[in-house]
Order: sequence, then structure tokens, then C-alpha cells
Amino acid sequence: MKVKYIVFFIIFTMSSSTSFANMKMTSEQNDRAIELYKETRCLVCQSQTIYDSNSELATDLKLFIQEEIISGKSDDEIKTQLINNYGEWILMTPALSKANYILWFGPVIFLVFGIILMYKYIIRKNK
Amino acid sequence: MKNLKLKYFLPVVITIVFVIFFSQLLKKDVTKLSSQLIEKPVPTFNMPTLLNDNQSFSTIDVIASDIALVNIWSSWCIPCRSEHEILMLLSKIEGIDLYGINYKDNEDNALDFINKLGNPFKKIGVDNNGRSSMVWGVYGIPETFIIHKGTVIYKHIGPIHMNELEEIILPILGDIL
Amino acid sequence: MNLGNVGNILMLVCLLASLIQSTQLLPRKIDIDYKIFSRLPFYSSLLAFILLIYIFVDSNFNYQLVVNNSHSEKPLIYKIAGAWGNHEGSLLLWILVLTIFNFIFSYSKIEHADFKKNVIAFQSLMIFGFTLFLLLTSNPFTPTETIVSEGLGLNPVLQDLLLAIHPPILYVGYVGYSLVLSFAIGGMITNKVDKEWAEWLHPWVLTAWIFLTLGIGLGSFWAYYELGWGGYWFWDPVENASLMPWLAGTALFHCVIILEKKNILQSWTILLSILTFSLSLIGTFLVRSGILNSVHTFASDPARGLFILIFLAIILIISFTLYAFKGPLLDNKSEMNLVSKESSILANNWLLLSTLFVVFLGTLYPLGTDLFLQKSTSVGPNYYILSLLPITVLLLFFMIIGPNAKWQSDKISNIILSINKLFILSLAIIFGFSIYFDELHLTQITLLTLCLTLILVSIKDGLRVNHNYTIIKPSLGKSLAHIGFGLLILSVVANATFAQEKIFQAKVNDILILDDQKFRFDSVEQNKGKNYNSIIATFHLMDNKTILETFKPEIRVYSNPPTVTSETSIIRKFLTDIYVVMNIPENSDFVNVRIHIKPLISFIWLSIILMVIGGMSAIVFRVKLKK
Repeated sequence: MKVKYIVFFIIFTMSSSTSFANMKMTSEQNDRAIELYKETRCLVCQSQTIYDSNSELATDLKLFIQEEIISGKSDDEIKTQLINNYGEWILMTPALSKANYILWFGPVIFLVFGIILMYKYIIRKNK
Repeated sequence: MKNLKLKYFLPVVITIVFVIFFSQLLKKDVTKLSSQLIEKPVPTFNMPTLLNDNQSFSTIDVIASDIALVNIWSSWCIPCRSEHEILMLLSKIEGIDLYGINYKDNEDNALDFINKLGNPFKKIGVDNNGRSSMVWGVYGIPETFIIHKGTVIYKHIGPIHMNELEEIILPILGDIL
Repeated sequence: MNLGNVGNILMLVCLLASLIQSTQLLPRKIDIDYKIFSRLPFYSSLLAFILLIYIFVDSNFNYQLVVNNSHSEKPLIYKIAGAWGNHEGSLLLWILVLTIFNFIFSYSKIEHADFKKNVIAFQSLMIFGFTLFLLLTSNPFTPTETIVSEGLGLNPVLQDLLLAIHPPILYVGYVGYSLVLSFAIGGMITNKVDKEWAEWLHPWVLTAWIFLTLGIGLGSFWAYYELGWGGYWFWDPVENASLMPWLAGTALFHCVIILEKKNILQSWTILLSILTFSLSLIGTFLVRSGILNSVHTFASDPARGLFILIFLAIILIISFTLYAFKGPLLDNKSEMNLVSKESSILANNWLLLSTLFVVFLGTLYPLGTDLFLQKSTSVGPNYYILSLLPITVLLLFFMIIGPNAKWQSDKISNIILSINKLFILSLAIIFGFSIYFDELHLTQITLLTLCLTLILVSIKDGLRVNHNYTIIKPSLGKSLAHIGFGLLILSVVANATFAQEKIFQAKVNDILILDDQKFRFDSVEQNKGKNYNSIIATFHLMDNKTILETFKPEIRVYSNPPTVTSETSIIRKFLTDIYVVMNIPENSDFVNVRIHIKPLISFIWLSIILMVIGGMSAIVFRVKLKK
């Protein structure tokens, strides 16, 4: 296992000959692309975005995003396609879907719960 | 008074819940991400082939097989070499069609690889820039998919070792053959 | 008798002595001299640890651990650090720290013998458990199965001085909370959870907090300088695992103060005492069990994970069950007013726990969705930032009010009077900035104003209480720590708002421009280091024709094990860091250069130092005051 990961590491740290800014995009498209790169997780170095990562796969994904932008797809469509291929985890920020409600609203509920607890402790105890 | 006591038991209860949760997590190997494709139909793709010049390798081929194994490999991938003899073994099983996708490779090197180590594949698709394989959610080769009646039922990341063949792959195949 | 056997015997001694001492928890027991059995584990663990370091320094490849983690050509200092840079060695370090705390506590002058014995006994129980874990699954003195003449080499990324000292410091904090748990158990068993108990506990909670803060800061500092990713915090699960006990520990510390002063909130303090170390244990479990995927994780083994989980379960179930029975009996009646110091501290307690909840949820959510929904999600920084924004605003708000409110009962008008001038001053300053810089929107303005107010109010508070310079009160520590925290949030927000970066494809002689600053790419050279080959690029920051700064980012190729690293080139100025990283694509005639301009990074490190100094002065001057 160790050898395999070392081989992967060496291969994937030297990025391929294609760099990510070689497609013809307008300035606005380029900005969109960069925003999407920052939203997409690198599959190999999973703590990084593909914007930050130099791995070959990150480069591939950047090219993919560029192609999709040039072919007229919207940001949402591109994200959906990425999710279809790789799963929801490829997006850095979890979507606000029903399944993720607990993630996004859990803290609010927790906070409110605390306010109730404190109310009971401070105000009711004094009566 | 009983009410007062009950709430103090909450932390123990929560602890037990989490211990059970963590014990379930231990059983899974989380370095291998769940494939997005499990229980979904074969993704849509179409690519040229390595050996059969006029044909293509596409979704249709995979759906046509009752049981298909799609293996993504390349000649520069060292673990792919060690896995190859396992693939040769699998190709001998009746009722299974093995397909390969040659990923980001050089045609000469790929042919060399096949000629030297044998060809277990019914067809070998060629994906030079890695784009067509994206629909499979490839992120580190080799990867192998088992497809039953057009639905992806298993994704194996990394080379198939002999023990994994015995403990995981063959049982799955045994269930569906 | 070889060294490995000596090591095993030493750990067996530790195992048995701690087991014997832990029998003191039982209601019926044979009285033993705690002095012997609480100190023996320390001596034997210390010797075992020194022995481990020795076999690393000696490059003794008869031991599997040395083979896996060292190499005869490694510099001495990294051979030493290699001893704890792995699962087994760091586990031995864990045990050593557990025994250190028991050892030091055994010398304490607390006169409540029963309480003292129970604390030591429970601590010994934990020492026993971890030592058993070590001996059964993770023995550092395991011999090699085959004869090997050379080691597999230490990862060059780990060959860094900062990183070498980060684990020991972090562990003193992380593991230090074990004694806090023992205090809670001892207090519950002997029914002594009161003002005096809080006084005894105070220095231990502070000490663990100081080291944990420093340890986390060092890790962050290292990540910034070494990883080359331009960031200092990534919300990585393992980073989160160290942050969670810190949050609980901070909440706990403030409760201990209330308990000391007002003799209320006993059961809440006990709950937090148990929670903090629980989080340390859960963190250890997450990191070493293999269920997380991260830069930090050790090579892991589900069997080890299971053992840690069982151990964790036993300790937590014992502790929380005891709490379930004793908890209702502990509390005193509270006469806390809604507007009071206590209520502000309590509010912030809950806000800290809410922060903890966010971090906890974010870390475990992907594991949960994978297990229950067969779906892979990931939780990136945006989740944490968005969720924590409102909590941070409220946290800062109560940090401003709390120190300016009276104990038990105060009036809103009084509080406003004491802070309004500084608040208005802060608001004016930040508002002024916002006119000049249009990057500052409402969120930033709110946060920055609160941070600045907090800093100014804390300075004023510190000066007011300590105006007599012959007696410096412990509350100086409070002021420093609060200033530190305010500065931390301020720097983080300012940095996030004003940081700039760009990726260039550069060839020699190109001039790269970022934020009106010109960087000239002057040369690329090859170089040979001690155990690596490298390519160094030279960039000069120019002002017309003069060279202002020189940057030399590097790519290093190590041979043992074969790895490629990217060394960042950072120039640190007072207000800003400039950060340059290079990447060389295959088959191309250009280099990818990433230049970052990062304002106020130094202040982040300064703020952590302030918090640590604050904590330290609180202990030092507390001791002085007592005398």
C-alpha cells in the first residue's frame, strides 16, 4: 500500500503538461471558472481545492470545468455534473438540500436550546 | 423529582449512542469513498478502442452484457501490472465480460503491455485525456466496476489483491451468476 | 537482556503499579502508599521513553519502529523527533504525560487525603488502560521480523523543528485534561465539589489550556510555513480534533472561576470537566482508528481503533454514570441576575459549546452520511465560517460586557457607561477605514468594531486593576488573554478581507504584477542539499530599479522515501507577509508561480502568544498572591 501511494504522490504532484489557463475564455468566464475551482475538492489531496492543488486530476477537472463553461453550461449544471460523476463530496460546501438540513440548522437549534436552558436556570430559579 | 434525575442521565445515553455509531464506522473502510455510481445505471460514454479499429466502446456494450467488469488501467501504472494476472483469471469465468479502459496512456505502450501480459478484455476503450472516464468518477487507477444488468453494483479502488478476489469479488460474482 | 526487553519490563512495571493504585477507587481496599504507586509509573515511563529515543538515535534497526520511521543519515535532531513521530512512540508519550500529571499532583499540598487518593487512583486507572493498549497492540519495542540494515526513512515533510516539538506541547495540553477528569471523579466520589475544589482545580485547568493553545498555534504556524498552501487553518478533521477540547476547556475554565467565586454551577462544571477530556479521547480515537482521511492520520489499524473505542467507552460511561447519580446532589441555589458577570460568562459558555457543536457536526457529518445514507459529502471551510459568524459576533459581545459587569447583579446602564466611549471610538475608527477601503462590508465592520472594542476595553481593564505596579494581579492574565482573542479574530477577518493572490505562468525575465507590486523572475538554479536535490527560483520584488526583497521558492526531490516537496519563500514584514510558491509542470518551458499578499498574519501569531502569556501570568501571579 505504501509503495502505491508514493507512486501516486510522485505522479500526481508533477502536474501534466497542460496548464489550466490555456483555453480561450473571456475575463468573465475566467472569473466564473476560478470561483468553481475554489468550490471543487481535489480528489487526491482531499484537504485542498482543485484551485490550490497541483495534482494531475485537479488539472483534469479544471479543464473539464473550462470546457463546460465555454460550451455554455451554467454553474449549477456544471456542479450537478460533477456530483453525478463523483458524488456530493466533490463540492467543498455542502448543498442546502433536505438531507443536509441537520448540518445547516443543527447549530441554530443548539443555540436556541441553550437560550431556553439559560432562561430556565436564571429567570425561573429566581422566582 | 424523577424528572430532575432523568436529565442527568442524558450524557450517558448520548455517550452510548456515539460509541455504537463509532463502532459501526470502524467496520467501514472510509479511505475508500462510497461510489456515487452504486445502484445507478451505467454512465453514458463512448470511446474509440485499442484493438478493434472500427468499433467503439460505449455504454451499449456494457448494458448488453449480463455481468460486466470494467477495469480502468494504464501501462505506466505499477499496481495495474500486479493486478493483471487476477484479471486474466477473472476473464476465464463464464458469464462475465471484462472490459478495459486504457487511461491517459500512449497507444504503443498500451499495446506492449497487453502483448506482454495478456489480454483479458473483450474490448479495450481508449481515453487519452482522461475526460471520458470522468463519468465513472475515476480518481486513482486502477479502478474496477462490477455491473449487473446495466446497474453498477460495486466499485473497487486500487488493485485487486488475491485476498480481495477471494473475499470480496468472487462472492459478489457468485451471488449474481 | 536486550534493550527491547528492558523497555517491556519498564512498561510492565508501569502497568502493574498503576493497576495497584487504581484499586484505591474501590470501596473496600487495602490501603497503600499512594506516593510509591503514583510516582513509579512516571519513573518507568520516563525511562522507557528515554530508551526509545536512544534506540532511534543509535539507529538500532533491530526494532521495527526504528526501521519504519528512521534512517541512519537523518540529522540527529530528527532522529530524536522520530521517536514520537509515529503511532507507538506518540502513544508512549501520551502515557508519559499521564504519569507526569499524576506525579506532580502527588506532591500537592491538598490536605483532603480521601479526595487526593481518589484523583490519583482514577488517573492511575487511565494510565493502566493506555499502557495495556500499548503493550497489547502498539508496542514501540517490537523487534523486526527480518534482519534489516537500513531504515525506511523519515518523511522529509516531517523534518522540521517546529513540527518536532508540536506533539509534546500539544500532548501536555490534550492529555493534561485527564487530571481535570480525575478531579471531577475524585470530587464526585468524596462529595467535594465546592469553592475549595475549584481553587485546587484552577491551576490544572489553566496549565492544560496554556499548552493546548500553544500546541494548536504551533501546528497552525507550521502548516502556514511548511505546507505551502497559503493557509493556516483548513478545518481538517484532525485540526478540529484538537480544537474541540480547547473550546470545552475554555468554557470549563470560566466555570471554575464562577465556582470559586460564587459556589454555584457545580454540576455544570463537573459536566464540562468530563466533556473536555472526552473530546481529547474522541480526538485520539478519530485520528488513530483509520476512520478519517487526512494529512495528519497515522497509518492506522481498525483493531487499534476498536481498543481505543472500548477504552473510551469504559472511561466515559463510568464518568457520566457517576455524574448521573451525583449530579443532582451537587448544586447550590443560584441568585444570578439576568444582567451580571455570571450570566455573561454562562452565555459565552453556551456560545463556546455552540462553536464546539458546529465543529463536531462538521467533522462527523461526512462519516454519518456515508454510514447511514451511503452518500459521500464533505464539509469545507465555508460551512464553518458561515455557521460560526453569528456565534463569534455574540461571543465578542459578551466578552466585552462580562468583565465590565458586577458579580451577581448589575444594571445595563452601568455597563453601557463603562464601555460606551471605547465602543464609539472603535466604531469611528473602523468606519473610517471602511470609507477608505471598500472591501469592508457590514459583516466585517461589525466584527472588526467588536474586536477593537474588546481590545481597548481589555487594555483599560488591565490598566485599571493593575495600576499599582508593585502588586500585579492575576486579572492581568485575563486582560492579556482577552486582548489576544480580540486580536486573533481581528487579524483573521482583516487577513481574509484583504488577502490577495494570483497564479502566474512565468518564464525567466518576466515581470509579475500583483496589487501594484512588481516581481521580477530572475533565475532558476539547481542545488544539492544534504539528502535532496532541488530547483531554486529567484524572484525580486522591485521598486523601479531597486531590489526591495528576494524570494527563493524551491522544489525539493528527496530520495528516501521518494517524495517531492515545495518549499515556500516567505518574507515577513510587520503588517504583511508576502508568500511565494512554485510548481514546475512536466514538459513545459514555464513555471507556475503563486504569489500571495497576506496582511496581518504576524498578528495572528502574536495574538496566540498573548493568550499564552496571559494564561501563564494568571498562574504565576496567582501563586505570588497566595504567598
